[in-house]
Amino acid sequence: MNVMRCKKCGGKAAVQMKQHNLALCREHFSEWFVEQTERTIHKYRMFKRDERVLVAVSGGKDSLALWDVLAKLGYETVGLYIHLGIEEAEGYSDHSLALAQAFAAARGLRLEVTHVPERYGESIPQMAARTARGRHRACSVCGVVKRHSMNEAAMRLGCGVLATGHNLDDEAAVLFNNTLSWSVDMLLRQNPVLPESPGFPRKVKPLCRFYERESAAYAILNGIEYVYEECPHAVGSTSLVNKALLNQLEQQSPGSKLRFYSTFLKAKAQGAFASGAEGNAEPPPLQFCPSCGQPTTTAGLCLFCRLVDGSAPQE
Amino acid sequence: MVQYPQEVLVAIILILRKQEHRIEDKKKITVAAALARLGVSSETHLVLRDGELLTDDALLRDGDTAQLIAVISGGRA
Ligand code: SF4
Ligand SMILES: [Zn+2]
Ligand SMILES: [Zn+2]
Repeated sequence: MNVMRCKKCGGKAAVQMKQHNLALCREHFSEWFVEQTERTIHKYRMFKRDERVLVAVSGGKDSLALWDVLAKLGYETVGLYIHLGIEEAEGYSDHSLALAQAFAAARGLRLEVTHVPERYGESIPQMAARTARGRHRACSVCGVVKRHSMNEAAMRLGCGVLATGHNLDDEAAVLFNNTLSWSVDMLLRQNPVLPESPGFPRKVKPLCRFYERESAAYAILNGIEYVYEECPHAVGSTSLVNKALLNQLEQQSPGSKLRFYSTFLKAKAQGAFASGAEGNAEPPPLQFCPSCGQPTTTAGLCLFCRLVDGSAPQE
Repeated sequence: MVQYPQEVLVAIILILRKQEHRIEDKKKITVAAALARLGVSSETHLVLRDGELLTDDALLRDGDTAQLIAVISGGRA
């Protein structure tokens, strides 16, 4: 006896979403997921039909689900895979690239690849080992390289919009971290949309209102093959610890994660963080890196170029 | 303490991270109960049986094999 029923058709429910008081069958869940993504895109004015969207794909469930939905909705997309040269975990980078390529080929979508070791002569773990910045965590170096590569590809490919697969769990984990330290400038910048600026595309997160289990369910129910394994460098990361804590809360009190994130956005829209933080919110004067041309906050080479040419600051 | 042999009527295999866990009971059990036995939360795991996702209240029957899929991922960026 299976009692949980789809709210739309009364068929057998496949996914229950306690925070919405909603259970849906396989078909209606996928339909709902696509509709909700479209609503988020409109609600936050992320992009319009005549804009070309660069989708950052990692081979994971979120980014592939996002690309699948945007393609279904008829948006013009280009996928970007950044090969980080991570060989641990049975060739993590090669494996996730293969999945992204198979996904794109099956749907006739265009996938661009930025191969970091081939282009810059070093993998992320190698860069991390060489520089002080990465000695503690490859992720720090990785973040710099990914941000640079995404901006570079967006400009080169004529994409005014960069979409990433961040889900609500990702956003809530970051929010939790920034709230613990009351990093007001970070809180001010945490948005579903970051407007474009010279040299930077607009950055959008169309899945930011879905729980992580929903994007996984969408990927599974739509036959999307994604990389299940975690990047080996993610083990023990703060974001995983925060997610575990928030999920404990969620289990005790369904809807906690959603409330935490959505009331934050509402409070911010009402100006909750603005007045006290005016000094911090001021963007630093814009300069351009003489080597790669990307905007930077400091004079001289940008952080990425210093990282690649070996003159990164010794922190 | 004396352990009395229990009659096992229902045996279920749960696969988590390529590892099989055998769960036994005298009656059919719900997905939620099976997950609890492994100390796993349905907030962070989906349950797949024969290509179908199961909700917490779905019953697992004798001989069922279900796959648990961890949904949480995370690095810094
Ligand atoms: S876990 Fe760290 S190293 Fe791995 S992809 Fe994410 S940011 Fe990069
Ligand atoms: Zn239905
Ligand atoms: Zn530069």
